[in-house]
Amino acid sequence: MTTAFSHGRQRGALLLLLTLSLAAPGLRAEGAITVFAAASLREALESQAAAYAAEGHRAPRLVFAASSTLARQLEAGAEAQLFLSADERWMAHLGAARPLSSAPLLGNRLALLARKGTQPPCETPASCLRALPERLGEGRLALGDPLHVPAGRYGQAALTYYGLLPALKGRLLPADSVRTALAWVARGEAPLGLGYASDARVLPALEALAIIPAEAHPPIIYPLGRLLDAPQQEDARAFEAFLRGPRARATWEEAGFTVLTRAPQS
Amino acid sequence: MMGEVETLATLLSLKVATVAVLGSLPFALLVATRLARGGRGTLLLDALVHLPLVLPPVVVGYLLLITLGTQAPLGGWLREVLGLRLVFHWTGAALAAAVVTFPFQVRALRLALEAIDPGLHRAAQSLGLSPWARFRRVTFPLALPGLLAGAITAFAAALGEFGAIMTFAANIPGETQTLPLAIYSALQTPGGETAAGRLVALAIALALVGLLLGEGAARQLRARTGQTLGSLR
Repeated sequence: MTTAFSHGRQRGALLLLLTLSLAAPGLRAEGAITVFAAASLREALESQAAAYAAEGHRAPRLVFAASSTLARQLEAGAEAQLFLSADERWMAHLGAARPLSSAPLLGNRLALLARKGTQPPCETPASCLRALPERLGEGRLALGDPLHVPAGRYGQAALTYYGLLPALKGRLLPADSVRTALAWVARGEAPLGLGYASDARVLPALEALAIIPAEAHPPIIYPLGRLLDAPQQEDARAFEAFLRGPRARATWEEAGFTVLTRAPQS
Repeated sequence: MMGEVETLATLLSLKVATVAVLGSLPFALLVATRLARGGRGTLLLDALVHLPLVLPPVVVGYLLLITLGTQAPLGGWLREVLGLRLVFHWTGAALAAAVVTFPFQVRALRLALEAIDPGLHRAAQSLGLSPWARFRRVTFPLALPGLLAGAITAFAAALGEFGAIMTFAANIPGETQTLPLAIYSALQTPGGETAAGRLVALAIALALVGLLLGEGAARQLRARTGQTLGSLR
């Protein structure tokens, strides 16, 4: 009797679990739009989303990773309404696969970062970069993987500009996103890293030793794109307008970005 | 044809997996012997040994990082005193793979050891064999199929380890970028599909060869030890 009862109960529990798991997709914040954004935007975009929600809108779902990873996922059909890439190349890559309306939103600067108080200050950015091999000692220079991560591409361009690539051969630490690279630096496993000026602003463990001169790499531009084949275009347009609008500006600037204002183009 | 990335990643994967399996083999043998003997604490030890099998590999990698990273006391000591660098180094990748695949070796060894007829030990003891001689002449030959099957399964699994290596040793081409990490990188790169496809084919081939070898070796050894036992009787 008892076994029959407990069997029945077990079956009931199993059924409940099954129903719940089937219902789970329905529980997914109904009506919220999804934003795929470059890893370096995390803190700033989270603040923006919170401010947007405080105005009575439904908070968008935010997904962060390297722009390359996100562009690949979107290319493969990932469901998102907006994409914030850390360079224009990945936006263009996605534009070749899906209908897209995009325009630059933010600018940033490349920076040499270290854990606070672990490195002597830089006299000038150029002298500091040329002294990189000595400063690194036995350690490696952490950066986004130059093969695909935008911060790594900008970083590699700057290293090439200063003729440092040969000296740093075998001493780079490529990471799957700029934030992974900077996590290695914050943990003290890598003495120095290449990231963004904005990263130094929002990551309390790190400091910018030098802002890399802008002529050393292509301009850092974050385009914001809207996927035209995604549902909920109205909601997507509303959040896009907010991000491009005057209320968002102070938050972007406080997080170390510059706001680029150019008319969107399809 | 294989490009430089594929060759580097394949050779590195083989090196990492070989060192991981051979390096952990003595420990696996010790632990399996202890587990097969049973007694107090066996259950706990068994659970601990199996932990890497069920833990997310990224957790294993993270735990290694906070214990053996250069900033951790133990990791700092290893580096200062023994000059042993693990983080961002292929030895670190091997260690991560060894930890994650350790349960495979222990499981197979334990099963083999437990299957040995205790009467054989008693017989060997009564014939005056020392513990070492008993291990060498009775236990080891009989456990060999299990040892080999475990080692080859662990080897094949080590070839595929991703999360723990990525977290502890990073993804450095030629240093810690094993096959799965190279596949991951190729998939992130524009136009990387062809390279990724070649790497995927390599990974499948290596895994298949590993598994077939393991099964074949185990069968042959089982047949052979069966014979020696038969001749003993």
